[in-house]
Amino acid sequence: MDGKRPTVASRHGVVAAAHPLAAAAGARMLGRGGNAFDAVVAAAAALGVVEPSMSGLAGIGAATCWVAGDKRMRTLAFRTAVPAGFPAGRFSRRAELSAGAMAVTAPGNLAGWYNLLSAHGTRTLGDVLAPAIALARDGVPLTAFNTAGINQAAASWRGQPGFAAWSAAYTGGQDEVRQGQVLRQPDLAATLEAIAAEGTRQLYGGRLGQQIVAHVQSLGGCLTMADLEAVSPAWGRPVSAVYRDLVVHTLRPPSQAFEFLLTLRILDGFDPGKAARDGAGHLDAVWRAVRLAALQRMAHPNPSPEVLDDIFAEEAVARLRLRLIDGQPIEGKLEPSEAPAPHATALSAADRAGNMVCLTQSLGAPFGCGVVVPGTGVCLNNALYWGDPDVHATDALLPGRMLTSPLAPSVVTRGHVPVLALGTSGGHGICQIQAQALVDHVDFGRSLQDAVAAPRALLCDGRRVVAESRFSARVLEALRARGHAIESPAAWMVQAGGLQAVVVDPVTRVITGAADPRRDGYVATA
Amino acid sequence: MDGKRPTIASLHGMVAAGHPAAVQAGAKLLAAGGNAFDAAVATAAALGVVEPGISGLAGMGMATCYIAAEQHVRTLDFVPRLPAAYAGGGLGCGTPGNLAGWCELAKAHGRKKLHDIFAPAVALARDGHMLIEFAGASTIKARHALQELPFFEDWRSTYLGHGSGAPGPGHVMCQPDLARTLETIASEGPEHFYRGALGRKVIAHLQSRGGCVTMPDMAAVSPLWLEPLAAAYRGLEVHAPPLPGDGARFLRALRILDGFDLAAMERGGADELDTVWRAIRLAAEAGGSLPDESVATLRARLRAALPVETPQPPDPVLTSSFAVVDREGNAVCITHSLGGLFGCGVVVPGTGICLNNLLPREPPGAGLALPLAPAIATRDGKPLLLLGSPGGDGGSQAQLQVLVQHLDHGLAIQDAIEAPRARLGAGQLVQAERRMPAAAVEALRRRGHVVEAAADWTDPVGAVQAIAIDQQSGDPQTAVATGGADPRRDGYVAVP
Repeated sequence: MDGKRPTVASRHGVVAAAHPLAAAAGARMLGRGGNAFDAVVAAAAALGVVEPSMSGLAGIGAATCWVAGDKRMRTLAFRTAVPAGFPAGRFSRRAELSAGAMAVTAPGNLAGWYNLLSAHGTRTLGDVLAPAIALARDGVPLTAFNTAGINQAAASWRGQPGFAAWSAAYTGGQDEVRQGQVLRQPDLAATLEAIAAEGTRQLYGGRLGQQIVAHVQSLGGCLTMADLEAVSPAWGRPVSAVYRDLVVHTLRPPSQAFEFLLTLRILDGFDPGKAARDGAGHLDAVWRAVRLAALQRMAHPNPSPEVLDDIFAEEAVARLRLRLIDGQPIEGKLEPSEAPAPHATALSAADRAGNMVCLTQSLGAPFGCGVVVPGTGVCLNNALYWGDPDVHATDALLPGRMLTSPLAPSVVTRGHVPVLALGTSGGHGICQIQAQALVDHVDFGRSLQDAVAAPRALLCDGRRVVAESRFSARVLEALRARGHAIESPAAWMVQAGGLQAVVVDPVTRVITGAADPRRDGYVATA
Repeated sequence: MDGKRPTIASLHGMVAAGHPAAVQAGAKLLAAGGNAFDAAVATAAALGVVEPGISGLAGMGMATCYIAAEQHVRTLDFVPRLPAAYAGGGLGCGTPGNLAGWCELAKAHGRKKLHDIFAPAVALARDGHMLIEFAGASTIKARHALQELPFFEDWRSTYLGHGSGAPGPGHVMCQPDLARTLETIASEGPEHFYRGALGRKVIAHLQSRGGCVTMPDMAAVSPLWLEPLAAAYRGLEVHAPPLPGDGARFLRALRILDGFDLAAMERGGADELDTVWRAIRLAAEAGGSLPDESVATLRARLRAALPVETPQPPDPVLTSSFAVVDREGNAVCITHSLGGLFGCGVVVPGTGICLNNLLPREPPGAGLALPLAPAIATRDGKPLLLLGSPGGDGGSQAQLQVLVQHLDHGLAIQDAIEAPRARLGAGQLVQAERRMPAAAVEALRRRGHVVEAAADWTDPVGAVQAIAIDQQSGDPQTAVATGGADPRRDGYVAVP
């Protein structure tokens, strides 16, 4: 007994999400005979209600899933392209697209949810949206994390055009909320009800789409109905890499999730598990591997299939492994300039039939671009903030361009059987965070929940490392001596992610969930 | 954020109990349109599957319920009378009361069929559940404790014979017999057990092991709705069970403490702890429900700072507590028990039923008295707080300490539960969780308390599961419930 949360396990199905009421929404689907796809979509939709700063139907996202019936791994990217009418070259700084209607891309999440559901779910859109509708209509008591997020956003946006509509939606027009206050979103409830009744066409061609487009255009944005109608989530085959006796699967470029896999490939040449857990040897190896992989991603932000093969070629990985142990500092830029503060939410689910789904979704920044479409309760994304105003850059904001994305929902197999799903928020730290947690679980045998809660570090530009202060001071001192420029500001850092994962024991078929205490992570069972 | 559990708050009802699978069973009933009574019974039945050493249909218990339709708090007593032939000694197995209690709760105030209510427990028993921290450790402990008994093989094959993996955390326990038993009861009703074939099978086996319960004892089982005891505390009315429950002791301590301004004392400081601990001891020493002048006397004794000694407490009884609320305003708090770990250790072959050992070695003068004190606090007639704790006579001590943290110091219910607690034992002995401030503990030793440092977290100080309700809106439909679950066991909160 140590004051920790209990292990949450079930043979019937598990959902792990960043908010208790969202995980419960997913669990409700499992409890009524739905599968992991139904559960993930219900939880994803509920997250847009209970954690409205982090995601919503107008955000973008991605999923990796094991389809038990077909015995295959699939990925679904529901990012959307730069609008066709985007004025390329007009902007010179990313920050110009941090707020306001010009930052908006077409909503991808609703289409993504619908694709997951219609391809592999068992319930109707109405069934899976029902918990989200009830939460929006009846209200959600605000947690400390909700409260801080809303109050920070209110403080930073006060005075911007459209602030009144945002404030009406999330603070009842008070511009401020307190913990425990009930957030009701009747407009969003009505919007979700209309979608449940009439389908996603409401948004992609229908009345809701018209409302969004008209409002965006009235604020000077460039989104059109044609952009909405062009939204088409892309199913694909994953990119996969071997780590120990596991194969880790995640999204292909333009997702940058390959950085996660490359980190693991580098570490596969070592046995960090032989070192002391959380000791200098363990952390130095993992941090150097993370840096090496991130530098590759910076060098090749959107690699072609051929370049991707080259990056993962044995000789190329072997060179990186040698670099890991050469004792020389590894430094460089790990993020594009003016990178946005990351905000996303990750969830994982598994069911008794053997399906496993991991989904990560985002509005770009907290509450996206801050524009709430009046009468709809829908908050729009600022995904274009992640693009580059330089028209020659890889992520150039050019009409029709599909931007890269750090979202990296992942599923892990052992012997062609899925055993683990994990995903996190954290922007350009996502791959770093997932690698640290996986090493903790796989190499050090930490239980999944302990691995999720274990102290983590974020590796930043140059030699800068921001590490949770729960690492031992002595170890951090030893790592400083090895050249890491370490800050340790807090015991728990929200920027170190919100990782939600499930693990399945292939013998007993027991599914165990893990949820990140850095946010309001919670695990619910069928 | 700080690594703690998330706050779990909902307008749609919730369940707080000592096991994640059991709370989910209750939440499932709430999600399917059941009310707090349906959910409470589903949770109780599921606890019987996932913590079979402490809970089960053959145990006994008491429920404190706020019935929204009546706007009234009532207690259900499902501690059956002593068996007619009971003369002390033996296995100590009393007449099973839990199943009767569950069925009465569901029939009187629930709206779901027993089949639906038992469905989650049946699925857990049939398909198996993985032993987690507390339940896993309990199973290992029980296996050592019971292996010399002549009927150990029945126990072993029931709990370790159908699953996979070594006993202890990680083992998957399947209980196909119990699944069938629950299904049969769901279709045939509790009479199957209390008057029918299942009961005869259980009684025949029990008698073959030396038990004294007879079918007439079984047929006489009839849960009783009672008026709870009540006491005022800080403007609230706190309700807890009368005999055979232990609410009186809990309420006596509250009445004594109501004369002291704990909020003005340093939280966790020596003054506060000294006051609370002495109140607990004085309440244990007194008996019955107190006239006001006795309360005044006891408060004076508390202020006099003279030592208060507690007699040796009775043998520990393991209990389990849980709380449920629904969106209609109903609230149910239950504490139940099998006696020792896995009761008397007798499992009836083919049924998955484990029998209790709640009878004392010596026949009591009056009826049974058990340490059950599930409590509901109301203000202006509306429930504000449900809390219950296991811990034998320490259960009501635990409830009191959490109540003080929550009401007097304004801690959120989860924080109030996690705050370090103490268990007061015989004489002046105190087992205090090591997280208590060292300076305060030292000062308390100087005041005469014999403080032993326990672990940072230890379950002798109880395992409180609780729900706090914000009634400010004045409408049960919009009241916010916030759950609290005790990490000293595998406590968890679920919402529909």
